[in-house]
Amino acid sequence: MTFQMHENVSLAGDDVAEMARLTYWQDVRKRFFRNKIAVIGLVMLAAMVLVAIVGPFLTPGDYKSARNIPDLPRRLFNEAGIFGTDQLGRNLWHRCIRGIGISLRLAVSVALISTVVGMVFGGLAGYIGGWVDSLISRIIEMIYSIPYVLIGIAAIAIFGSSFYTVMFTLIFTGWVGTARLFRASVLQIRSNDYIEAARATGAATPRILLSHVLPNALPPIIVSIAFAISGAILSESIYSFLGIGFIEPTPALGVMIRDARTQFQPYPHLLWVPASILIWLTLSIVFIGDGLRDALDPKMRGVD
Amino acid sequence: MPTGDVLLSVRDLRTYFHTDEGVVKAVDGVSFDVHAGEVLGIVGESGSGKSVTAMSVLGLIPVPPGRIETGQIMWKGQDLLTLSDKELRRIRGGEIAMIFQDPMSSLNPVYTIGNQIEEMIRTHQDMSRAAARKKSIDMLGLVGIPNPGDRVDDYPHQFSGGMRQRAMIAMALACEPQLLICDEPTTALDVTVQAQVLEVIENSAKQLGAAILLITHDLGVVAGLTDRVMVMYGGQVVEKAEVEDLYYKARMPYTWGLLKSIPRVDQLGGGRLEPIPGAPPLMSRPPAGCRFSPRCTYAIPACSAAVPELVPVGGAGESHEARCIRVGEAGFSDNAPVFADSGADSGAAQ
Amino acid sequence: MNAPAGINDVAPLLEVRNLVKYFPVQRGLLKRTVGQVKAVDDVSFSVMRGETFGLVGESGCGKSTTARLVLKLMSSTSGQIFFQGNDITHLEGEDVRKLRADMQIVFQDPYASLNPRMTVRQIIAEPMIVQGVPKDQANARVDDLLVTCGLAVEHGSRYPHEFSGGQRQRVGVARALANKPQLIFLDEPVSALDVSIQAQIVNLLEDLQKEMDLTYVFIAHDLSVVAHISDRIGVMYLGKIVETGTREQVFSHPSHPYTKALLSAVPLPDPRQERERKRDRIVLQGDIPSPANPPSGCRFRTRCWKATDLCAAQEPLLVTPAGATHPVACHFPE
Repeated sequence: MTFQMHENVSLAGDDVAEMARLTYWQDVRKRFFRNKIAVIGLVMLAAMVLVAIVGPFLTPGDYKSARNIPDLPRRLFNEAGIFGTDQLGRNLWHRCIRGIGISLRLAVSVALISTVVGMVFGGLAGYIGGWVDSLISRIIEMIYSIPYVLIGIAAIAIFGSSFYTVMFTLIFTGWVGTARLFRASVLQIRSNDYIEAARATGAATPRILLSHVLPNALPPIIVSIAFAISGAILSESIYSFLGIGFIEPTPALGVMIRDARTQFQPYPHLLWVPASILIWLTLSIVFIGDGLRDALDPKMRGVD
Repeated sequence: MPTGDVLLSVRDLRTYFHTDEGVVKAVDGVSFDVHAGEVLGIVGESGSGKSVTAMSVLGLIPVPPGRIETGQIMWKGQDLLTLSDKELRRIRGGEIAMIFQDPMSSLNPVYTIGNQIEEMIRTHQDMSRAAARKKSIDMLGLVGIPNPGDRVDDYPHQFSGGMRQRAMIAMALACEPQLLICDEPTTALDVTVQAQVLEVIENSAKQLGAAILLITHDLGVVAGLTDRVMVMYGGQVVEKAEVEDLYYKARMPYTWGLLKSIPRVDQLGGGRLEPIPGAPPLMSRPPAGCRFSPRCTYAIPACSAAVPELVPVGGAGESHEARCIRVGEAGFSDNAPVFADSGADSGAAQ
Repeated sequence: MNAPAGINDVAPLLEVRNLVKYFPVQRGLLKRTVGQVKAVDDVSFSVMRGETFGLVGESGCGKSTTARLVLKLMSSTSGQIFFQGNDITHLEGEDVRKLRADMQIVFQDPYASLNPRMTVRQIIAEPMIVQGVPKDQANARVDDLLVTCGLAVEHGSRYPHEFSGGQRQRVGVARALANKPQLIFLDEPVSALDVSIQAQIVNLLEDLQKEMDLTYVFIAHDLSVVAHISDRIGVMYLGKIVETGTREQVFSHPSHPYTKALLSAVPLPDPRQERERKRDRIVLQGDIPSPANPPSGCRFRTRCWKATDLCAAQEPLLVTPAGATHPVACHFPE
């Protein structure tokens, strides 16, 4: 059923042929890598991850045993290793690289799970609306208004301290941020004509959610995952610092910082080293998150 | 023929935007005059550069990525492009005022209308608060807002769309500027509200003796309100004439195309529309030669060789100019659209 | 309301009877309903096969809502909708999905109506996929539709942002045509386009109508375009139809004061005529009342120069007065 073409819409001087032929994701990648800070963050993170993975193999040793070698000076760069030893004679270098691993593993799993949970609830609230939205939004507000430290204390009191308690608590307090963000995203997308157009063609809700809503709502979620990771690293450290997360002998960064408080006078490096690593980790992810946010922002397409 | 003195004289204005995709020549060599008390219309479609021209006059172009590359904007003898920010601010609002398409985004939602008008007045004139308040109430009355004494203390969201646009006009005219620039003032409004607002603009500007620079894409609005019209395409002025000459005796194929492509409510089912093929050019890579040539039914090879000059047509002297190399050809102007009542006795030769 | 004399009594393709849509106004934590926005209030009209019915009115008159009610994108409060003679008012689920193949819509905003993450081909193919058309068949038809609507087959693999407004609108039209519908609602299809492009799309729509025997409901506030393309017109104000008839009847001999005001307000691209018209122009006073609180009796009375106590007391019905040519809802029609 072909007809004669009506008034050939020659693309006015082949504009379209030569216009940016980049797909959305290609454009995003280009803009991300042009952002110096973002690339620095990426390199910083890569270095950390490399150390955490390869470290234990390159420099085998153990972080737990407290060797009280009286004449080994408790400072940076002694015979035991690069970072020296701590007050119990444990090798600080090994503790640190284990600490990085713990922080990252925890933070990434927390971030991913809480993002998925947040997307499910936020998506339902945003797309269905009505009483579903009211209910979910009230729950979000309730959780949001309680300081997460209190929730952590309650969790430890009930379940005792362990990797999984910390993880559960962080997920429980973390999903609400993503949910609010995703709900707002879904609401905004829902108001677009192309959603109505999809309904007008007879598409069912699951199809609309998967093909239309999700691909368009994804960019802010990617940014929020990055910030969720850095947030989780910090939250976990705060929990550990307050004594409601990991405890000895787990070499979580927060635990090490906590211990170092009492040892600060004679052994300041016990504080500086894990604290610097924490800052380094968090900062690198924040740089990446910022870079992602700028790269994904549709308003900044094609603007220098 | 405009009788007043020349208030605004723009010469060879070029405003370019430096973006990722290259240099966008939004305004590329525009010159025009505005005389005291007259209404000059600038007509064009998206990408023609009409809004950028207006924003350039008042120095409202965001400086990176935009830049006024060359040109002169003479306001009563002073080149606005050489003025400092402070001097420019004195002129903005005080002598040249501007109203925009969307009143909601130009009005601050957290201040009352009265506050905003008073602030405008007191920035440019030495007046006590009481006097400024009285003036703002007067202005609201001038633009036809009922009960101005009460409404002066209302917030923007308490006004309807048409009222807000009137409030904007009141604010713009509060300091009795000599030139009012209106950038698509009624595009977002319903047609009956548009009629109200246009009436307000025309009457209040006349009452204050202000000249109007009206920027729009609506050829109907232009026909009713303006004395002279300038048609812009691809960042350039392609035709300039008194309003009746432009409609009844247009000489540039783009103007013909525009006139032939719009349906008229008084010509029911008046045959098929004649659209202009293609689409407006991307100003990051304008076509070679005449910007309109790729879409022009009458284009000849010479059209894409070089950009034609804006030349006077017929015996009209400077008052009717067109940018087309074929304008002098015998019989070329027979291609212009025919109006039922445009007769040859329209006191033409002007 | 019915086709003028001379057209035989073929059943209308679409018939809307007493359609009503009220939106509840809710306040408070528990969302109590404190009022109603009477967006569409007892609207009736019919559309014959092959014609273009123009629905005009200004913002808030309910014309877009009416379209969505007929398309069943929204549930109506009361009233009936007949399509091809069948009562579709209470259809649900699978039946509605099948109906969608026959009734389509083209939206106003070429930038928001296409999913930025889908290629043009995917966008046009989607309606067919949803209706169960096999993929290769759908793809072949996408090629046809692209060419029919004035684009090229290569454009299928591009994304919406690579096109201009007019081209995107062509994609929107192609999408609407995908399942060979009988009836297409056009919701301000050219308002967001440049003037020189509007004419291209209007011509395209007219050509397609002839070639594919389509029926259009053309919704717009731009009277000039409506006047050009429509066969019959319905004028809406604040949720009601105030006047309806053929194009000639309504535009050349408007009876309702609102229609007269509307026509008088449209600026003509003709300086001499426009200046004459300006002298007699009817400039309505006041604002459009809120649909949550419409005036009693005749809704237009707050801005009407003829309004009397009768107008406040009694709502005028849409009837053809004695000696008149078409229905109008006014106590004092011209």
